[in-house]
Amino acid sequence: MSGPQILLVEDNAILREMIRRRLIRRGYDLILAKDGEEGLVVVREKKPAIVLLDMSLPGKDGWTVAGELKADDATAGIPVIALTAHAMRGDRQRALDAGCDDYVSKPIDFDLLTQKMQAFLEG
Amino acid sequence: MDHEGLNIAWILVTAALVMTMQVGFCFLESGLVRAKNSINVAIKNMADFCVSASVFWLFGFALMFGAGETGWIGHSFFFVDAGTDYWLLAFFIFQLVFCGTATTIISGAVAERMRFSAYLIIAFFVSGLIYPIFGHWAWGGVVPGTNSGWLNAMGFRDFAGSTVVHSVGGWVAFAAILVIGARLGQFQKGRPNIQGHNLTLATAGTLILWFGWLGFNGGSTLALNEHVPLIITNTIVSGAFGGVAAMFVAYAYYRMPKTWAIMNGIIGGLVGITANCNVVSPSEAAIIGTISGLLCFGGIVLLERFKIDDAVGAVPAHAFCGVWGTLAVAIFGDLAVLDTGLSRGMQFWVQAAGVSVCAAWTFGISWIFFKMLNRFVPLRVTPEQEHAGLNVSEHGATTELVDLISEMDSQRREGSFTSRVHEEPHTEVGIIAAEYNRVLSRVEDEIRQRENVAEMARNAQGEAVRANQVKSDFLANMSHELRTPLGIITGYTELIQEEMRDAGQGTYDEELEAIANASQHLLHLINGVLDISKIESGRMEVHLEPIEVTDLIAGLAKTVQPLIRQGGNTLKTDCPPTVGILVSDEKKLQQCLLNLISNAAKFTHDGQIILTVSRCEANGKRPRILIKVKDTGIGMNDEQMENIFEAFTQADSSTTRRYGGTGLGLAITRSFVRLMGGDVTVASKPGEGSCFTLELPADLEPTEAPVPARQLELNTLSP
Repeated sequence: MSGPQILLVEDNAILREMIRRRLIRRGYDLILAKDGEEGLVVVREKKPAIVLLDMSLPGKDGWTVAGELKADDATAGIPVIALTAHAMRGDRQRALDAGCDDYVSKPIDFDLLTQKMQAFLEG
Repeated sequence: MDHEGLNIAWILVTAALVMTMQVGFCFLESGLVRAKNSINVAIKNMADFCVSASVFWLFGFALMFGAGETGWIGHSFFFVDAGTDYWLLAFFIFQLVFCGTATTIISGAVAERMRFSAYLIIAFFVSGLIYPIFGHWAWGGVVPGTNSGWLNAMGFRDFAGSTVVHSVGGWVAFAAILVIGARLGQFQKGRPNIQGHNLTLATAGTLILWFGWLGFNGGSTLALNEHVPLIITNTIVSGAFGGVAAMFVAYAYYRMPKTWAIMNGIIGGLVGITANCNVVSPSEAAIIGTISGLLCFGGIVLLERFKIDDAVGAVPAHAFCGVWGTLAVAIFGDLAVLDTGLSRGMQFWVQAAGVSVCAAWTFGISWIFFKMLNRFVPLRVTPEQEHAGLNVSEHGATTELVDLISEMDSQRREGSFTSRVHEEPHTEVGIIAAEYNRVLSRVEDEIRQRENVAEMARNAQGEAVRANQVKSDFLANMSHELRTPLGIITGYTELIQEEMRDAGQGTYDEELEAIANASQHLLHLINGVLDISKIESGRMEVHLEPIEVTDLIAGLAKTVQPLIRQGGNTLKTDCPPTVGILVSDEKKLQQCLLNLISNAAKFTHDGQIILTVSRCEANGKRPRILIKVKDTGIGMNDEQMENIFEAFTQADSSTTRRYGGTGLGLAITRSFVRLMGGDVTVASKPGEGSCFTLELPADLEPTEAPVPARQLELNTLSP
């Protein structure tokens, strides 16, 4: 099944695999990146339809990556959904302030996630 | 016996006694002024003797005792150099010390504010002009071969100089203090308040004066004859009675015998007898002395009344008592001994004329001269100099004590306590300085200790802030660390469930469901613990926004449907549109209501859960929203109700086993509600169900962003 490409930037390998498998079951086409730097390279190359961005990444953190994506005209238009494990009010706001378009908190409610993704894909 | 030799010897001895009076005046005046002017007064005393002696030798003696046809002024004996006329020289010496006495009377009255240079000019003026000229009128003709002064010729008799010496000095002093004015601060409080610094010295000075006075009066016979013992007796008696009289009146006036009153009483008594000690009896001397003492005291009080500042009481003692003593010659004097040929009445008028002329001449000329002199040489020092003290400002002279005090003063001003004052060894001041330095060391230690304490407090505060930050970081990390593996557990569990269902394999569905539920429970626990942590560390934030209450309730009802149906219950909501908008933290409110409803659903089976919302706006009370969650479940007794809001407790220990739950929900609910400015209460009856009432203030202002609840300082609702 080929659909729009979704980029998942997540440093935890097990989590990355779990999310990939669950999203593929729902019909999405996944590309993966394991840290911020790789994520930025892939975005610029592949121009995915949505970026699922884990906020706590090694090296360059999620907020910085979001900022850079939005600062670059070539990538600013790509919706970024933050995956944030902190689940504290301030952190959600911080994700939005950094440039993310939306967020879901971990543990991920996949129904909610696909709902949000669809909103961006169709909107 | 060689009477001539004896007389000359007597003249010389009594001249020496009179010169001792200079010491007496020096002690008296120095003792009666403040320490910062003591040296200045002493130097003035010494300097005016130098000036008067020089001037008197140059031309004063000539003007006073020289030959003069007119009777107004003498003009021989300038640059006294009498060759072999040893009597004249002895007489000159005797008169010289008298002149010195008259001159030095002034220094006391004007003390503490007269400029030294101006004082020297005045000394010159008095000893060169005022004293000798009047002296010629009264005593001219005493030297054999000279004409009488005109007052003398009239029959004016002033034996040893109550008028010639003391009144002259007194009136000049009076003119001087009127021209220069009172000392700064003397009459500030109405009464004079400047104190002498050494009354011991002043008292000693008085006694020395008395002693010297025996020569002053005793030598005025210019011969050691039969009159001398009487003269000396009268001198002692008058002085004594003057002192006693002053003591009594001072006691009556002040309730205590003041030292300065007694001293001036004695001196007044001595001045009073000076004119008449050769012509009165000792009984009369007692009377004269008594009246002199009273007069002197009265004079001092009078000057105070008129705010005229005489630093030592010179004017009353010398001018007023001098007048009295001169008049007393006519009142009490033995006319035969007086030998003027006048009747008592006439004698009195002559005496009166004499004192009047003296006052007019002395006071008048002095006043005019001082007023003029003041234009060229200011008679008074500047206020700064007066404040600093004339020792320092006029002579650069200082005492150890003054040095110490100024050192201490500058330390105090600068607030610097690290340096030490100089300790002069083997002096009392040095002992004080040493103690002061020890106090300084102690002060330094105390300051250092306080600084250390402040430092520790700062450090402790820094530690506390750091510890707080560590806690925050811990919470953040924990949140992340716990959710990540939990996410993996729930994610894979759901994945496996889905894939197995797709593959039609339901074998492990129940087990997987169990895992999923367990991880859900774990998640709730983690969320609960993290919430409690945040609340307890004061880090919980609230975000106040306007909430459409009816929408909130509707959404809530939909969300809890599965939960309600699980227990076979029904949910009824009652939220009239009049409830309107509530400004509060929506997410938290949702969590609280969800908690209350799920509790109700958990503890009710086949029953009813009723959610009622109302707005309450009673008079005099804050507007509020009330949300009631009522169920028809198992209910609670009082003991169970006590514990339910505590963290980690449920109704009782069996509840967890039978009904599940974390024991955190209600604790968090209550904390949240309180953070939002409200409270939650419960009413329940076992077997009949419970009713939880959530009350929130309806008058809050929205916040733009989440703020720590602490900052809002929401006042709780009154019941």
